[in-house]
Amino acid sequence: MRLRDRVDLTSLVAGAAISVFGVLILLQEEGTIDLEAGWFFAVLAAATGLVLLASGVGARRG
Amino acid sequence: MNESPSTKRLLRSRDDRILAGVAGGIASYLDIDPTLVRVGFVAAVLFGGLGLAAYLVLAVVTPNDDGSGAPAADDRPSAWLVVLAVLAVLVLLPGPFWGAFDWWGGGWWWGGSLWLALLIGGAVWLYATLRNRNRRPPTEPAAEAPRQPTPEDDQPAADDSTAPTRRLDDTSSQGPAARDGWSRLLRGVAIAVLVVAAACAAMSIAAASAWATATGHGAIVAGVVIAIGVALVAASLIGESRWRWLIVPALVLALPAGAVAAGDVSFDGGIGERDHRPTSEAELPVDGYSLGVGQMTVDLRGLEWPRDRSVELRTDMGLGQTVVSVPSRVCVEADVNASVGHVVVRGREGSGVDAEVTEGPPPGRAPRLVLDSEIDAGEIVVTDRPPEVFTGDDRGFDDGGWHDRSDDSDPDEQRRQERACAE
Repeated sequence: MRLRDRVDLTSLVAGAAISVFGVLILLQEEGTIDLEAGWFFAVLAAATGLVLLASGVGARRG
Repeated sequence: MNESPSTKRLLRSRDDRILAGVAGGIASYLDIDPTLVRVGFVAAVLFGGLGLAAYLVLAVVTPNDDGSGAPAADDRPSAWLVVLAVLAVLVLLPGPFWGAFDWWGGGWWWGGSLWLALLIGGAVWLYATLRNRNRRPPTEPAAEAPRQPTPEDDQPAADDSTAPTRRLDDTSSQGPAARDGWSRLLRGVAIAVLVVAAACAAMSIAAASAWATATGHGAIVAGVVIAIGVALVAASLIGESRWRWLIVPALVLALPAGAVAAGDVSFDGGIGERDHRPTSEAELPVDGYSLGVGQMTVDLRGLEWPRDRSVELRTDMGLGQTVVSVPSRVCVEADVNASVGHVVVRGREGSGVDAEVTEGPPPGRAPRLVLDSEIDAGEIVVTDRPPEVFTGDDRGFDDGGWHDRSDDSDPDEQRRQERACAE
């Protein structure tokens, strides 16, 4: 079985989104970036959309 | 005593295991989704480490499943597991009963975690018991042989001396239906308790995450969130979809931490009430006054005000109320900001998100306060009235009902400020 077929797409995208989110929080806490509340909710909405999209694609792929 | 083959035993699952198979075994025993059990363990770990101790103890005392539903032969727990379990019991479990642990949460937190764990465990047990009972096929009617009609059946009911007994038997035949109703009701209650307990756990974890971030420990929360994300990615690459439940605790941790970090909310400086009444400029701290959560009053009415220069003051608060009182003859040059909340500076007010009032430099040579005041959420008041008017400690103080008005702008104080600045 190829890796592409074996990968659980929803977990992959959700994990990547959560990791990115964690990194953003870390950078914000360290003062490397200055993310405002508006950006925070925009990133959150984009991540939610990506996870839903991946879930849909994964379901289609079976 | 021989064990009947139908007796169910609690075993560590061989096929459905992530660590030691405890959660999978419990799920199989109770016939519930193993994800629920894992979420329960993780939630309990975050509540004082109870879940960790329970897991380790169960890993030691529960035998492995040999694959056929029976305990595996020659199955002994490893020495390190026993040591870990003993340590966990000795270190973690006494907390709720001693109640005086100040590390890792404090006594109330420990006690709360114990009761929450008992509540969740009780609800799971009740739910599983009732569900198993409902699934059991009715045996009583099947055990009874069909009764053959007899000549006595044709007799009038009044002559039948066994009629009352039969009626009792009849009600017993309706018993399962009544029991089903009760079971359904109790199962609903158990589910409701579980939902409430899960919501309480989630809210507590979210509050702890927000608190940790606001007190400068956001990097730890971020590290946990990143670790969960990496674990999810790793699981996805080996085709494991069972770890998807980790998304929930990751979000519960990440959302409040992200909101607090993005909002620049900081609770550094402690909690409580602070009442500062400096009498000379030298008593004013160079870095200003700060407080994490609570109420802070800075009463400058007793200060000796120099005429030849400005007095500079900075205040910083996370959540609560800051009240700065100055003499009415002092001109206030202020840059006052509330991320969320309400500010009043010498009779001029602002409210909402990023509420701000700025008073420019005065034209005259009046005693002057240059104030830089910030609050993350709450209220900042700069006034020539006593602080008690705004802090709620003003019983008996007569201000003519001014502070009871819905509109906090005060033209009289604005005029006093203009007069002081024009001097």
